[in-house]
Amino acid sequence: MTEFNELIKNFDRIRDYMRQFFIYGYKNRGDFDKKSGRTYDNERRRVESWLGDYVKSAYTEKGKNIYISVDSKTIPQNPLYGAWKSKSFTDNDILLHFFLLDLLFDSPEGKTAKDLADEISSRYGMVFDGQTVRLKLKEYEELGLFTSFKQGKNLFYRLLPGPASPNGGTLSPDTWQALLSAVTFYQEAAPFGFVGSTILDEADMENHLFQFKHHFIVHTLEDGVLGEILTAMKERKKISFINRSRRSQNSSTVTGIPLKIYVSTQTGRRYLCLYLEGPRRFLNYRLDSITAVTHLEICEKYEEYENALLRNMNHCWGVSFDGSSRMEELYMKLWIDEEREPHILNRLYRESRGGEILKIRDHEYLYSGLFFDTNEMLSWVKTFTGRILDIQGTNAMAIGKLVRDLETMYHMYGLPKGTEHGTV
Amino acid sequence: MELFEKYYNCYYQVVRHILMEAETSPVTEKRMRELSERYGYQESALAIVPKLSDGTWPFLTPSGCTALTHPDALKPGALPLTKLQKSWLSALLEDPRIRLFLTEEQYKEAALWLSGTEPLFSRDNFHFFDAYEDKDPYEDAEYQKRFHIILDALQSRKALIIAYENRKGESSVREAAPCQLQYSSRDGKFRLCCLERSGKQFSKHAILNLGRILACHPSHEKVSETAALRSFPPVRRCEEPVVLEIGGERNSLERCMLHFANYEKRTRYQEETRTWICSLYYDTADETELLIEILSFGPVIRVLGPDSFLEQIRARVIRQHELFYKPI
Repeated sequence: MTEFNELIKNFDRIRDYMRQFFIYGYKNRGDFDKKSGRTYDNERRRVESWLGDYVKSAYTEKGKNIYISVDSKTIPQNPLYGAWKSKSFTDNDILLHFFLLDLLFDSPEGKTAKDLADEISSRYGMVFDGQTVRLKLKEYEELGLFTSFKQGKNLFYRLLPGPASPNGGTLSPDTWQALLSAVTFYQEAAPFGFVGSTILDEADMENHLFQFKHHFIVHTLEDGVLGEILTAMKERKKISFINRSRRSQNSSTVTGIPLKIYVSTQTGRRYLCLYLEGPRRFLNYRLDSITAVTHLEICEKYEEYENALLRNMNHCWGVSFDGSSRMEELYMKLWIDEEREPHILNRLYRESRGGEILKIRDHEYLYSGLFFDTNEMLSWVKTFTGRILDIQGTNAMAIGKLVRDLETMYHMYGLPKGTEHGTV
Repeated sequence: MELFEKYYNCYYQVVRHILMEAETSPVTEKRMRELSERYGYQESALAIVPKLSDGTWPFLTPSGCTALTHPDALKPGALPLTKLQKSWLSALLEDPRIRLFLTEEQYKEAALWLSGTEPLFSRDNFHFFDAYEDKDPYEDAEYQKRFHIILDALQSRKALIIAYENRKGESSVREAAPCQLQYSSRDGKFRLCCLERSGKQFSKHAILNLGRILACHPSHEKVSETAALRSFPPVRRCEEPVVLEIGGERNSLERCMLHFANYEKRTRYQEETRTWICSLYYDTADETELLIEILSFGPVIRVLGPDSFLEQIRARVIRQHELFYKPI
């Protein structure tokens, strides 16, 4: 039996488990039916070890279930970043890490791989062959820590200076400190915040300055996929990937041109907006459904598609470019007491996404919008439950569904049935 | 650039901290375990401490002191940033909010330092389709100035004199000890969590919208250690959670779990009704917001309690029914 190890080689498997624990905290061991029980136990133990007190457990009739529960406002740093800091390494990796940094720190003239192998042997009593040392030097050069130069036939390596190095930093102390304050903010507020958290780790800094509301920490798990997509976008390349439908659990391979990342600030969900050349349409795919991104050839018409998206995106309420007709209209009349409830009116304005708002008479406002898909707007419309005087639109089915929903809610909450209804 | 990279492994940070302590005094195994727990994971000590103690990783002398010759290399900021880290920082310079942290000179210095580093991402790569339209004016010089003053007061634990305009447009002056800055990406707003002066003490909890702060400057008073340490509770947790019943139709379970993922919650499956019961704990300051969010789901989730919350839902639903069907 192999010994348990907190560290992992492959991020993809744990990504799925963490999502399950975080999003669907009600699952039991038996619900993770795709893997063996041992695999589940190891992954659960790993996640418990990484996330400590954020992991909770409860017992149900079907057994113990594990879940991650946290109010985003209470955490100084996304605890799921722990997953990014768990890549396994060998003894040689960590030994050479500290030895090479130690030996090159005070050596502006640089050293060759052979010099370093000899010094490691004489100073620390460990023997490494030149090739092993050379590979680590090259790896750290690629990471951006070392630089190399040739002198005669010999290749020398030098450690690059740190931003606040005692040997002379590359930034003034004030600027470095100001930048670190910014990092405490952006490590949660910017894409790839995990990278910021590694800067704070190395600077021995923690975030005490900021708290984050409407903050969805689980999406850090998609950053690997996001990175691959952004690289393709930068290089204007087509991509293919596997998309797994969350509803049907079916997987399919999709090929298209990646143009934009759509982000919902209200749910944290992120989507890839892809142009599909075959059906000649835009389609959004959830990043958490995407795996195995492959870069394909450069797309010659990238700019053309990008411009086409820009022309269309204002008519997209959310992420859907669908709709029963090309463009759908929606009119909603709301009752708002503008004197007593100016905040409701403000809400209407700030959430209108380009729709028009017209005051009809005192306490009555008309919202009108032209979007691809009325269905996407219905959740928002329902937030005005108790204020909707009238609603009409070109997508009669969607409007009908909304009216039925409101009526179902009326019956749901224990209200008298059989009331005579007029027309809306 | 690879994100999942062993260089960022937290075990390296654990060993770095152990070696930093070992520079000045011998480090015991007990202390190594404490540092492993602090900078690593819960079980990291089991993997790290034996290797340091038995010499597999010969970074320590038998007495527990560092065996490395340049301990300065381990100090914060001593080592260079990786290409990935610099590339991430370079992307931040494109964001208008960076000016809230850096002065013009600092910005220029940082830009020069990062010149030649390609940004990891660009703002144009993203479209925040449902962000609110009345976000704070990050690019306004006066707003930036006020933000700098507040951030400085927060870091140096100074009280602030603040001229503030409330929702009704009335302005007043108050003195407050800053505790934290709250940020919402949905609203695009910063809010100052602070303790306002009440009598001789800073004790009254307040959340001030930075966009409504008309002017501010640091007061002469340094915030006492006790007041500063008594950190602003980020959440005034409700006494009873809102309990939701989720049937699962129209993908409601998945939607609910994602939508309420930022709340502390507990979900369980109820065999007899074949529904999921989700208990949501929320900040009492955000009750109306949660109410609206729940309404947005319509009938695919049902509020079971508490009664006070249920009553608010019921009132809105009845009112809606009346607006549609009651003769005027």
